[in-house]
Amino acid sequence: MKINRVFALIYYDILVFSRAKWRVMEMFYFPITTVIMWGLFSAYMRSFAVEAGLIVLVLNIFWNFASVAQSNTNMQIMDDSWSGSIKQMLISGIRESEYIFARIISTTVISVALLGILLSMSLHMFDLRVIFEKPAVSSMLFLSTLIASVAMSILIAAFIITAGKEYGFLSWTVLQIFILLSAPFYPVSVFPDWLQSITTVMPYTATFENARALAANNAIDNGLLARGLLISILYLALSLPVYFYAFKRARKTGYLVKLGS
Amino acid sequence: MNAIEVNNVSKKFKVSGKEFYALKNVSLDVKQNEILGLLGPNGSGKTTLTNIIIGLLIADEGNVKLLGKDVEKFPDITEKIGLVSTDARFHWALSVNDVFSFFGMVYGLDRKERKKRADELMNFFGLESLVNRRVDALSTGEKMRLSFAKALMNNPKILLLDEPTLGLDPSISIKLRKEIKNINKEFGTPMLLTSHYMREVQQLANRVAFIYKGRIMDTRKVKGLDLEKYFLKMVKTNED
Repeated sequence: MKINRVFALIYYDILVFSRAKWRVMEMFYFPITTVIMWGLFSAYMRSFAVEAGLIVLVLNIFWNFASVAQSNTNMQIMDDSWSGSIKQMLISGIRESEYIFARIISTTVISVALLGILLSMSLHMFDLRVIFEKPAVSSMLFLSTLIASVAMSILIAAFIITAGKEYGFLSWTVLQIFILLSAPFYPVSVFPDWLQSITTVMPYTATFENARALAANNAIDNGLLARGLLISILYLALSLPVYFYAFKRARKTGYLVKLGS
Repeated sequence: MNAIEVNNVSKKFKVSGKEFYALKNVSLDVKQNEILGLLGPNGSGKTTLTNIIIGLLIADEGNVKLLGKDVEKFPDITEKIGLVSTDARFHWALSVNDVFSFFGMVYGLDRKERKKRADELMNFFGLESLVNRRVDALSTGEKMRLSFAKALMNNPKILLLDEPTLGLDPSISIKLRKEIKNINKEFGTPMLLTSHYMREVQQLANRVAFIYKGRIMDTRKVKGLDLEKYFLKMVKTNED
């Protein structure tokens, strides 16, 4: 891996992000408005059930953070594909490892910036203190979410590279089913028995469960915290060989050429 | 050592469940200092071969060596290639200057070198007045000039020219052909040229290879050859 090429790609992302204003809107506008909406809902809910409102708000922050940390990388890949610039990049010597690594770095910066905005907004507008009371635990939960989303973005990229750019829509849609099965606003027990075994291995289940406990009772399960982190790391470890295999396969099938044309 | 060496390359694709050979046992070489023209009708395998040479596609059989190194085993070797292609596209939101800055960084040039090289190339290709213009506001000819300039950013050791003057004004085409010849003469940069303009191939290439239905049918020196007649004869012979 050559560091100048990684820096060049990060520089490229900054250029595109600053020139294409819709990218800024896409990454910040929707999450911010969603969290404001659910923040207002949680404020209203305080007269009925404080915890319910808090759970909805906290989990919305996690959901939006997870989505942006995944979708930004995949949207960048699709943007490179639609604009045809991916071909110019690859024939200039940029390796697949440099390509994805740089995108993960820029996505991490964007999603952490978004998280900062969402948290500070929630603190000042909706008095959401619970996340700030246990900063180490909250950081661990967000770290697990970030790693899981990075892994998901790599897996989705691998699928699009292998199956073709007509599957680009998965960039902003497919995470929804993983979020649903990771039980964000409800416990795993709401699912039928046969589905529960699947939900336990979903990338965000343990993290969401802990986030709910934190919002509801200011409590945390350390075992669950470790499990959440471990599952995220396992997803990441799985995603990388899948991605490299997908690239190699796409070079054989000709899909890599199609991705850039 | 040849600049480009294609050894018994075959490539099959599947379309609607049916396999066909896009390339079959293709062998050719581009020697140091020479320009090899690659001629063939549409769908003859020119683009597939180019994609294999630049490492975007892996051959089913055979191998490609650039400057003596196998492209599959040493993918970094593609950094030394410049590709000028009709379908060269850059992100629509970037400016001409952004394109130079980005690829200059990719090629490891420092800020000063990047600026110097970009200025030289913009000056040569008449892009100075377009420096801040976005790619999506450039005409076809201007995009082609940008593609050519980008391909020369890294002082490539090999140039692949895929229809390099398609869509360009005659005056720029003439200037570009002169420059192609100059680069080849001055730096000895070997080139593989695919073009539909026989005059262009006649003017630039030292040798020509004729590709038809994924096979190299003939390779010969250009000097003394009437390329138009040769092309028509080759197509007719192979169709028969």
